[in-house]
Amino acid sequence: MSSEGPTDRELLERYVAGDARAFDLIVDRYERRVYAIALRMCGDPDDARDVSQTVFINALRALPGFREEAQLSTWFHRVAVNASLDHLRKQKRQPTDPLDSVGDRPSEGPSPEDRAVSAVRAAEVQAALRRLSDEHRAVLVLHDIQDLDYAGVAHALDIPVGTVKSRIHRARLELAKLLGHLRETSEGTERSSGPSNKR
Amino acid sequence: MTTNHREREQLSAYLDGELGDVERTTLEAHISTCEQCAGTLAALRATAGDLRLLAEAEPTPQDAWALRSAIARARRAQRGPRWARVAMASSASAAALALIVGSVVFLGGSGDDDRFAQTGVEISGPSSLAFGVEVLDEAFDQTSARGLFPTRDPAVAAEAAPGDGSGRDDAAQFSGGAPAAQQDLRSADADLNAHRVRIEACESALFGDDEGVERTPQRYIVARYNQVDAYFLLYLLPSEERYELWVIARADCDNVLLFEQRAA
Repeated sequence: MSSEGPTDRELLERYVAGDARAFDLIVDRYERRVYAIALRMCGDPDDARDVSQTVFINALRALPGFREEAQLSTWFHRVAVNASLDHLRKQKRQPTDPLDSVGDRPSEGPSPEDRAVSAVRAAEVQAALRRLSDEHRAVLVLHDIQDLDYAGVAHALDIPVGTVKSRIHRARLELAKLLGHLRETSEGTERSSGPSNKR
Repeated sequence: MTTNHREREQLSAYLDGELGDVERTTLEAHISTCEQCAGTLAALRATAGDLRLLAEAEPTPQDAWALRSAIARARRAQRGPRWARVAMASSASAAALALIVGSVVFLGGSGDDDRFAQTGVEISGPSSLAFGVEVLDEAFDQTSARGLFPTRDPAVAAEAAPGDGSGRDDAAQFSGGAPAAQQDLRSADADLNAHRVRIEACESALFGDDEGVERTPQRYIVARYNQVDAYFLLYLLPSEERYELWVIARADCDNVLLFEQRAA
């Protein structure tokens, strides 16, 4: 992520050797990514906070046994997705509709109008995302939101690249319909001509 | 024109630049003649664009704090017997601590009420510095931190803080008698009384479960920490012969153990 500072490998070695500060640097480095994955998987900031804590507390124990050949980033992506799904399962509920919780958090400074508009759209997208299956949501969160390539998604989810490819495609088609970019026709699916709908 | 032809399955991979040269060229030729695939491609592109709206997802300072607090708790639970393993910290950690302690001393010594100052000054710095000093190395001695310790007159403490090599005097001062910080609180105005009530509530929430561990308050400081209104609480744990410096959020008692240090 950053070209300066120690590499992930160096931080891991220092942590395993007993340097507690190395772990703090690992937290600094991956905190945002883990939080972002959890937020988009669960759809709720409070859940994202809980999941982040679970991930890093697991990391305290798990990282000393970390396999050399694996990437630390891959590990965090995988654990963040799995911890999010576990969290949702434990609560025996579906991901939260972000529109419900949009007012719960302090806003980040002043909001220009266009920013407000895109925030509303973002909430719609998050709401649509939550209607997808766990598998479909995970590939879109990692690929389209976290910007991993197909191979990166395949590593993170431990599935073949071919599966990633077809899953992303199906997930996007489904989401496109939910967001009004595509509509069903008698022959199948075609592009919607109207503006995006809210359903 | 059928809708489920093979090319249609390739559209997302094409959009993502994940097709080989041959596949890409073939697909481009197809799209140019197939209105339906061109439409689907546009819809997929719009969908991917929508998803990018969700890229912005920052934990709040409170989230960051809660995370580090949870990690600190897990570490203490993991560590078991106190000081079973004192990690060797780098000299950089000691420097970071000195920076933080220096800032705290400054906060504590400013304002009208000379021993219990409330200021708008923030302790700033990279979060890794601010949070990365949980375990101290042996080289960081009490002299460096003694500006934090209660004295009769903080101005004197601030003056002495640069260090004249005689840390023992201060150590003697706070090792016995009633904690000066509590005296400060009792004698202060309603504002400080509100702080006292709040601190006590947080203390009982925080330490209520720690049966048998006695914490003698050494100093309370009202300050801001990482953009959060907070209290710095310095304790002596006589039975364990160490100090703890806690930071506690005023709003919700969210907390982090900023550092621990062996008492001499």
